[in-house]
Amino acid sequence: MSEVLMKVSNLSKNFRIGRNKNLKAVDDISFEIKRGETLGVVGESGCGKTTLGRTLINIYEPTAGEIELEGEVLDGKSRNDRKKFADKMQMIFQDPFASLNPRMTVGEIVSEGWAYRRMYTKKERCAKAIKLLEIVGLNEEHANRFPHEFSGGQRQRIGIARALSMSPKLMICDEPISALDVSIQAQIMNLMIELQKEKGLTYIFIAHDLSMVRYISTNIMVMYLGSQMEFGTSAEIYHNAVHPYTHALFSAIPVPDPNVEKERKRVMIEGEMPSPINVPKGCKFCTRCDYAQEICETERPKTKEVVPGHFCACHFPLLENLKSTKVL
Amino acid sequence: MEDSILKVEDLCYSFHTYAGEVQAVRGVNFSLKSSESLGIVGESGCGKSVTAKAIVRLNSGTSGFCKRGTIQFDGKDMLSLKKKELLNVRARDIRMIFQDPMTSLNPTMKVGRQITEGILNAFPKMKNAEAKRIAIETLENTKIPNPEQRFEQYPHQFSGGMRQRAMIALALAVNPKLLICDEPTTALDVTLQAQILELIKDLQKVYNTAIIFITHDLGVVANIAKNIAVMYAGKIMEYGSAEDIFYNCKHPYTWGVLQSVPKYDADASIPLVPIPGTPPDLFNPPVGCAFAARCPYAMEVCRKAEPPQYHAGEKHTVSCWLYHEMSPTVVNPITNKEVTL
Repeated sequence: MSEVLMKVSNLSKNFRIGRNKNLKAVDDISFEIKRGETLGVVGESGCGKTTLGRTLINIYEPTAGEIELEGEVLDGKSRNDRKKFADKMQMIFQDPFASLNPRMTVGEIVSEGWAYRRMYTKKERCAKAIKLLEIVGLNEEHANRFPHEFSGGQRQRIGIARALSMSPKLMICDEPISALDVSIQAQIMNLMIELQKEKGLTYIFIAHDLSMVRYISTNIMVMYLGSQMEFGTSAEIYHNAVHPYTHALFSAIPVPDPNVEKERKRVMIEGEMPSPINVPKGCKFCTRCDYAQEICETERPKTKEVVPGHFCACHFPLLENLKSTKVL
Repeated sequence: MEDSILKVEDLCYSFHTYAGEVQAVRGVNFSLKSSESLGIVGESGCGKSVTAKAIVRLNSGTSGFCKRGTIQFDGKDMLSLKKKELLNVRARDIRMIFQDPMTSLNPTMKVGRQITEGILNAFPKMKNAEAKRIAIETLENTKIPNPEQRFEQYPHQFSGGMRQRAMIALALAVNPKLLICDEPTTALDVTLQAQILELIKDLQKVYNTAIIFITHDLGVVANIAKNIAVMYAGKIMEYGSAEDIFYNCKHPYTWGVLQSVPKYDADASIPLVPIPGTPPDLFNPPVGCAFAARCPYAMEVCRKAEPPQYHAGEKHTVSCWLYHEMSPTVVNPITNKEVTL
């Protein structure tokens, strides 16, 4: 089962803003995902996690780098190639209110992919759409309604049904739960986990809710200003984070437990993220890092493997964290 | 005389819409002592913002109207105050911080000017120079670097976190008795959220203000609030100290909410327990307990009659039929003990 589904090497995406100015939204990112796994992508807003998701699915054309899916290199230049993207990868969006066409019924929304590809007859499409709706926890009578008749959680279910209609291998979930209430978030998370087990789906889960990311992910990638700061298994990243940024990011999560909140020591990050147009020359985090030294300002750290499977881009990783089992 | 600064009793607040009357708040009671902090948690649409805004009558320009209830603030009846007195209270005693720092500052006015304007509104006899001195001092207290320089800048020159700090400075510059924070960190990243929460906590000590903190994030209230009110469908389901709510909660809704967020140290293999269904429609609020339709312990009585409020501790109250003497014994899924008052 542990075969590599997607391999991304040195992926970059620049946006041109004005003359001779580039915004490096995604900067030289490489990773691999195995079949049936979930990769969680976390970072502050503006760190490029959404751009990464969109570049992967070829909504944006990558500036440099390669995306390999099931051993095939996809460049998205030709129509055929783009179709391959869509067949194998689907996306779930953040805002369930904006991502569904208000003038189409739910049945039409779910079966639009098939209609576009001229798959099945209209009757078959209808029956299949109802089956999909049932899988995601809605029922037959919902198929003829319009999106405005549904609540946020139900709409997100419709979005998931639409993504499933192409039986994709990989789903890119761009903050699928952040617009929902806590009690509904858990419903959607459980649905996604169930679907993953049943259909062997692979997820790329982009979110800023770190506790949910840890809950669903096999591996986690921490991004900052377009670069990968740390990559490792979920447990490694949570308990033995070696990058000062990851460490600070996780210690900023509010914990729903007053006693833990009182006791734990916070690593506060001072200040805010610098502008992505003028990124620091050395390590991108050096302006806010407590451990920054001279070399951090001049030389960009290379990604090193600190423990097998655990990568970190830092000149002075907090290696002592590797021994302790609990960091938070 | 007791020292509670704010007392809300049986507040019912509704809005007229084309579809009918939305009963956003349906009988809310709480009181707040000076320099205490109260967190109001609940899902969107449960009436937490409406409650907070009703205190300063910020809803009155809309189709909203107060159906019933009283709001006593510092010996004044907020609902019958004259316009001028109300403006005075808003200027000097109760200040508010809103969710979106991008839209709540005036983009055409320098930040410093907005703060001094607030100070001069509250204290009309103060000299301009004095107001400026206080404004810069508050900017400094909210840890904005180079306050003198920032004083002369416009909101668009501030980043998101800085704007929220400026909002806090704007609110605290007049040293109000009550600060209402309506989801102040929801639009911010976790790292900024941690900074702002820490700042509000520190400043509460400095300014000795009472705080009402509205949020949907249980982690945030655990950090900041001494007392917590859990709201659902326009009512307070459970009220108690932070310890009561997090370690000894009594209401099935609170159990549900606490179980549907992953524990920070728990194993990922434990499935989350979501609350099934969706919140009720407040056009036609259900008879009986509002949570009955989603509650795994719902009994017949829950759908027929509204549960009374039971006292589970000194401050701890819970509105649920499970605590009636005739109800069956149920095991609390969080503490795994049988529920008792």
